Amino acid sequence: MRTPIRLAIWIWGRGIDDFTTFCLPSILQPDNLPWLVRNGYPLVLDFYTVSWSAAVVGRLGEALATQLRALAPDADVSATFYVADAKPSTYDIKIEFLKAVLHRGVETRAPQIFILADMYYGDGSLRTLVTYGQKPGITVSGLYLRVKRERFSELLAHHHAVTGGSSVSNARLVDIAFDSLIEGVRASIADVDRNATYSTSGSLRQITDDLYTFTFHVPTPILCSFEPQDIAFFEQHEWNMYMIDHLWPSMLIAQNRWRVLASSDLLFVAELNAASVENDVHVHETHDGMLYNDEYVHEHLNGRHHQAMLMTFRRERLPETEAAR
Amino acid sequence: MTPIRIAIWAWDANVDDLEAFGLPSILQPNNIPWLVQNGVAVTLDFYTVKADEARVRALAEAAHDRVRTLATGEPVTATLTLGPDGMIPRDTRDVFFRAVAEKASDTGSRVIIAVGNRFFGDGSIRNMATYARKPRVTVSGLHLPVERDRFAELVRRHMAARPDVPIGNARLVDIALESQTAGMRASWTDDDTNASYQTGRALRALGDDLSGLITHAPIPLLSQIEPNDLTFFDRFLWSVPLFETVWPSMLIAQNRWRVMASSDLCCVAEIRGAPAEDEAIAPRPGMRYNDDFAGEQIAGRVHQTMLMALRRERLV
Repeated sequence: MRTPIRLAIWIWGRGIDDFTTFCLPSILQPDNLPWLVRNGYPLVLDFYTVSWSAAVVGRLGEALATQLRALAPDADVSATFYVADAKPSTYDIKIEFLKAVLHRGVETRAPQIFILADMYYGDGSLRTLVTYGQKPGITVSGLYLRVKRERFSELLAHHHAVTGGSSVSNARLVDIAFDSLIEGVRASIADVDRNATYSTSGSLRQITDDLYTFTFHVPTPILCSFEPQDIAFFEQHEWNMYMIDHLWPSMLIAQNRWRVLASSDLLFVAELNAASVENDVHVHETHDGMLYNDEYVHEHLNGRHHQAMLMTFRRERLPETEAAR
Repeated sequence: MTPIRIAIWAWDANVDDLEAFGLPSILQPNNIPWLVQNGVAVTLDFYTVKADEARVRALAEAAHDRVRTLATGEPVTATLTLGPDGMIPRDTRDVFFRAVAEKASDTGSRVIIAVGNRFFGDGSIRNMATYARKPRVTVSGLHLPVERDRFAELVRRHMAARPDVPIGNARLVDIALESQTAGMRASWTDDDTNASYQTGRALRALGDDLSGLITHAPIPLLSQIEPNDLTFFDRFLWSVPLFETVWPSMLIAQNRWRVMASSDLCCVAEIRGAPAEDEAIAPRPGMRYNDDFAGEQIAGRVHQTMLMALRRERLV
């Protein structure tokens, strides 16, 4: 009997378009959710939405569950819907969702994967994440990068056009992401003297045409196994949303519950940023004298721990003949 | 780029390994030839004992001849150092290590220890050297023990099928996984009964050609040795096992330790016969997905969070 996997899918408002355009097609690639269903993993699709989007998300969720059930005769797929009332801010909505996800994780003892509307998962990422995440009690992180939504969308369309719609593997997704990085990530390339690595927390180095290393001080949890003590942790920090990637992993490291999938071949997610998000939130000043820097000005409890880990990006370009076509 | 010294040591039966595996691997196009073609000052430092001097000297001269003509910048130099006679192998190794460390520190060079029985995937040395332009860091990577006879057979098969194609990291992973030692075979934790608790390695199958590895004690492969390191080694009597298993803890504390966490960046096969450690492997039930290690390493917990990736490319 396989451990059930719960997907914590957060969508509402304008995020529904992003979800249907990007996230949903990505998680429906053959080696993501379909692979899990065909390999006997019970799936629970937990949708988290707000009241004014509940009807649309309800239809979307039921349709997705039905589509996945049709993939295998013994498929075990269900959907649930958590509906929050209107809140003064997006942040308040997220806090309510985080509380609900944590309590559900503790009650059901099931690993939960965060699926956010603006995330594009490389084909095979969910297979690897879940296969590895069978180890009980661990929380797993991996590689992701912020990309410009419009440029990413163009390159994704180009990929589908020249490959006849084939899936986007992790290595292909790295290639597309590298050609659509937001400026803040572009400023994290530490092979030049002037860069912003000191404030972005990431340090990207080119090793060959298609291989890069990445030092990252603050990897984000993607598959989480919550325990009662985690609820106590977040309560103690007043359910501050930013604690989940900025502080909680320190506790997990101390408790030997933290694992990082350190290569894009294992897992890669592109996070689509609108121009407004990029320009309002992720602007970083560059400084001279930063050649090969991987220090971070905002010291994290676990930053030094992650600094020893050279995560790997492997990109696979479109074959020239196909690209030309 | 900072100069690089390649410390190549072999004596007794290891000279056979050096000739068959070690030297051909570091002479693959994207290893030492890439360095010298890209302006890196390279010194080949050979170490052996009197009894093997003639043979190692011949290998050293042949290797030197082969790479010096490729150099585009600094000339490639080669040295040969003879160890003291009459020592047991462990002591000989420690004497060589001391010479290597002092030479690297004195000359401000980075150093790669290419023991005769280590096979470097094509591109591994290029990738480590490229990353290690960052000053002061010492770099580790994937390091897989293999059985000599089976490994040799698979290398021969590769050479027969694709004589013009070097053995890159992904091909080396494939060959290494097909020639694992008993200790490696007992480190796969997808089964309930395994010996990962004893070997300090936990391997997981994650896809047809993709596996994950947690190892508690990755070893230094490209080192930047400083005077304070000589003090450290001196305190620990120049013991090579401590260089490999304890020194990284000091480097972590000094923020000088980096692990290349994917075989695409670096992969080294270590060729073994039928070592005693494998004979002593005792798999136990109840070890599914285990990645704890009974023989705690000081730096083990740091490495335990890091799932390294092995990507294999099969011979078509």
